[in-house]
Amino acid sequence: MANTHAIKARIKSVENIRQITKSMKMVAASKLRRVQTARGSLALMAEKSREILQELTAGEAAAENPFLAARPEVKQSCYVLFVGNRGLCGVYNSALLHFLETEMARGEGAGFVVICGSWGQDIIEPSGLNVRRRFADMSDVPDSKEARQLSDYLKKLYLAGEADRIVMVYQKYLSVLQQQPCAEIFLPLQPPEGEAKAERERIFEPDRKSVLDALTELYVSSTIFSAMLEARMGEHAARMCSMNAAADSTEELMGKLKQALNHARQAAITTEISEIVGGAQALSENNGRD
Amino acid sequence: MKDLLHLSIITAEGAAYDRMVGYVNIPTPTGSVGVLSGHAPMLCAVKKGLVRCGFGAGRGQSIRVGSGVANIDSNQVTILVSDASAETESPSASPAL
Repeated sequence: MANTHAIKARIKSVENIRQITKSMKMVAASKLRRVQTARGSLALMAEKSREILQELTAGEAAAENPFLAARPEVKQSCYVLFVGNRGLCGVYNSALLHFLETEMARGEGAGFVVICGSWGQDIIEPSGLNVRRRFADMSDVPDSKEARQLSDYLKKLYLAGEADRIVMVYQKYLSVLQQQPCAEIFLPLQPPEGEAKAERERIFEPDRKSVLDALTELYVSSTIFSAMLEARMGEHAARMCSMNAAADSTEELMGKLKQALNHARQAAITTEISEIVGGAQALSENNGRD
Repeated sequence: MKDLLHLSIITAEGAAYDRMVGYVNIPTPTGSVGVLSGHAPMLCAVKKGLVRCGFGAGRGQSIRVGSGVANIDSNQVTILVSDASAETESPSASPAL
């Protein structure tokens, strides 16, 4: 009987784990939807600012803009690492960290890291990476204020000459099932891809340079916000898949445990029956002797 | 309808304001710029302040915006800003349209 009690206790604990993993999957799915909606809202701003930037980057004012002009020599690179806020999402964070190490090893000049996300404080910092700052209080569904906080810090680093190039390292969201680590140059700004638009006759108020400066400020913030949202989408998708796999594993384990419980119960019944039969036989033998 | 402008104020969180208006006043670093229907194509820097628009019959609305840029083209005024919040509709100080 002791065996069946132990199996029953184990089944109960596995059932609890199953409920927890299912809840975590649902929470991740809900956060993923919210981040996807935020990404959809940002698309409008990204599209409009890209259109105007495409037109303005053709002129001379682009060469004077501090965010657009490439620096002749890259002495110091800053890597912005977008990790998750916690684990339980498969290899999402560790694969990204490994990718960053490879990227830094082959990058130009010396490099330091700025981390966005609270995962791995006891792994990344002690690993020997040169971590300049960590933005650990970024929410699971980031908003534009958080993005501005990060982009303001990065802009200051770049303008002060502490970094000649800023690279964003994050998991590109391909689908719920697939994310891919990528490194994209954030600063100097890369002119938007696509055919350069023909220069149109326009009035600039107060002048072309001021308009370009104001636009690049917006573009820088929306680029960081976009990467931030994409990284979070990947994190929630990875967690959703991991929790789904964990819930499936608990179902499988429950099946095995129930089978073991049935075996144990059957063995106990068989033992009891043979004891009864043995006892009855012994009694009838005693009666025959009397 | 031919004297109206399509005003959209867009932030990173999506379209904060989208409406047909008769008049728009945009705050810029060198003062405010008034836009009426048929304005020449223009790109202007926007400074933190109030965008005012009029709907006609003396009614209007103010929208508090952060810094950004405004694109005026073919009776379409698109203002891209860091943040925006519309204030309540009120009788406008702008000329009745």
